[in-house]
Amino acid sequence: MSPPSASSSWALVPEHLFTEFLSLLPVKSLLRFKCVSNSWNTLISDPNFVKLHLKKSKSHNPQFTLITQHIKDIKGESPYGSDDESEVDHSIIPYSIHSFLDNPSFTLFADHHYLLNEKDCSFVAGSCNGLICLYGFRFSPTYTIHHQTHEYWLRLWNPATRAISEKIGCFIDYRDFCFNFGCDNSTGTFKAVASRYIPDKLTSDVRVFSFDENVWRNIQSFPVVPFNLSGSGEHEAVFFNGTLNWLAVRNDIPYTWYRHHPENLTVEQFVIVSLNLGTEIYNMYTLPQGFDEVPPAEPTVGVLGDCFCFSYSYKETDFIIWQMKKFGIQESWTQFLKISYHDLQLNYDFSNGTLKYYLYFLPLFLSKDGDTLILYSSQELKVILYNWRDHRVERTEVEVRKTIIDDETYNHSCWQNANGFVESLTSIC
Amino acid sequence: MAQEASSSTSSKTISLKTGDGEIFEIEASAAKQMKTVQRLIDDLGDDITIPLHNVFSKELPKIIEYYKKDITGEITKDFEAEFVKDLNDDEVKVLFLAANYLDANKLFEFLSQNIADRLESKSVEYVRKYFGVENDFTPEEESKLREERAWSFRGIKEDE
Repeated sequence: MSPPSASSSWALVPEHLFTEFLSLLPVKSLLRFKCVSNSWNTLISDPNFVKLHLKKSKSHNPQFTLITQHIKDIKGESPYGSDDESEVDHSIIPYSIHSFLDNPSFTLFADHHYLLNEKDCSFVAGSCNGLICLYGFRFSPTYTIHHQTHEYWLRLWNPATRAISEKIGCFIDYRDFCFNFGCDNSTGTFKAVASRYIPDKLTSDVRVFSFDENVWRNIQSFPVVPFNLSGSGEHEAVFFNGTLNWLAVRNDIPYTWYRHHPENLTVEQFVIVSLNLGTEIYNMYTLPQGFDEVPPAEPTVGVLGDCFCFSYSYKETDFIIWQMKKFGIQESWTQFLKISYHDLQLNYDFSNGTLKYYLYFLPLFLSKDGDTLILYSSQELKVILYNWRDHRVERTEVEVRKTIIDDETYNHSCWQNANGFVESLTSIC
Repeated sequence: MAQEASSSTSSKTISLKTGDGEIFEIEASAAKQMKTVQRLIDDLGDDITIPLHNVFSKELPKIIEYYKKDITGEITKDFEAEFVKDLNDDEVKVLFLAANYLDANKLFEFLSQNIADRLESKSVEYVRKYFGVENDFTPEEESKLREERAWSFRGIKEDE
């Protein structure tokens, strides 16, 4: 019996074998291959294939979204600069973590399809399963003169397929809403959360938008108001395993780090507020037992190596990262790393005593083997690669430009907003 | 060469017979990595020549070479790159299908990735030819599909 000829053997091969390698292809190739034939189009569009592709994308090609800000000064006609304006734009660029680790210093040009102003959106609420939820707002003149209102909207965007939804979830309300995004683990339904602190009532207004039902629904206020919700500060929630999580401090009035003196705080006041996106019910988690001293600068929560993590600076000497090995189980908090500033080859000047209050590090990602930590330093405004096994430190230089020609746009990377991302075929509707 | 009676399984060799009648030897520990072979060994015993009707003398040595390296823990990125370097797309196809038949998971996953890598920048026409797929779109349907995702057609390889 002679060996079967190569091309004829594919005709007899069952579909599930095709999906083995097709599900490893990047989205761009798969979109193109939808044009191969009707059956390929059906296969690639099939929700089960999309799920398989997403799963493989998560494990084989973890990415992150690099958010950058582009500011261009536009000179007006007045010689005094009184009608000068600034045009601000942002871009969100998915980038491979492996590529970043291989070559951490580079220049990226923000393709126009990554720019937010074109999409009439201001910023990102979050990302999940390959979709990014953007939000936009504009001043909305209202019938009362007592408060400023904004008109808000959301747009669901898949940067890999370049599909973007219309403006959805539109509402008009007070101006300080913050937005977050995630999905209900059990059903895969995407949800957005909008929240705002109400100073008069010492409580918060929290509402959830379900992309399936296309409605906003008011839910209970935060049991403890998250950090910075009442200020203009960054209000990042960490999406993990079907929940959105915020660091909060039990206090009569919401705690804003830069406004309140950390010396009046105790570790017992810290808590994690967790919103289950399926049940839309809150849970609260305490921090590790080993967290026994209030840090000088604001601690943070995040996701590292598939674990929910909590990190902070320790005195003026170390940076500590804890992982909640089993999410929701207090006892599973495990100290992951205690990195001395010395190991990071920092030569920051702590002598005036105030740097420690402003310096913070953000652990962003871990390499696949778990040995290299990608860490952002607020002091250097740069990302540091730290291999904690070999104690190797590498500083990176990432530059993002809006255009290839130098049009005097001031560009800078917002590493504090970088988040894990995965390329997928997930549909926006 | 006579085997010692007290030798462990890892030094025992198994005889495999291809669909075109050739016989190849493989270490028992390597055979264990190919679940189909292991099942046949379990059924027929390890002293019998195991028949592999759907695998041929062209590809089996290459598969054996892979698992020889695997049992000594020597599979590196360099080895894998070298392993597929001189294989054309048809040869990879044959190995992929053989690895599937043999239920040789590690090789199968490696080759799946390699096929994906080869297809990544290919044109629609190449893919149709490679898989023997007929274009059953009408010209209008096809041009609409292409227009909707014109950007995904940029930067692809010229067909060989």
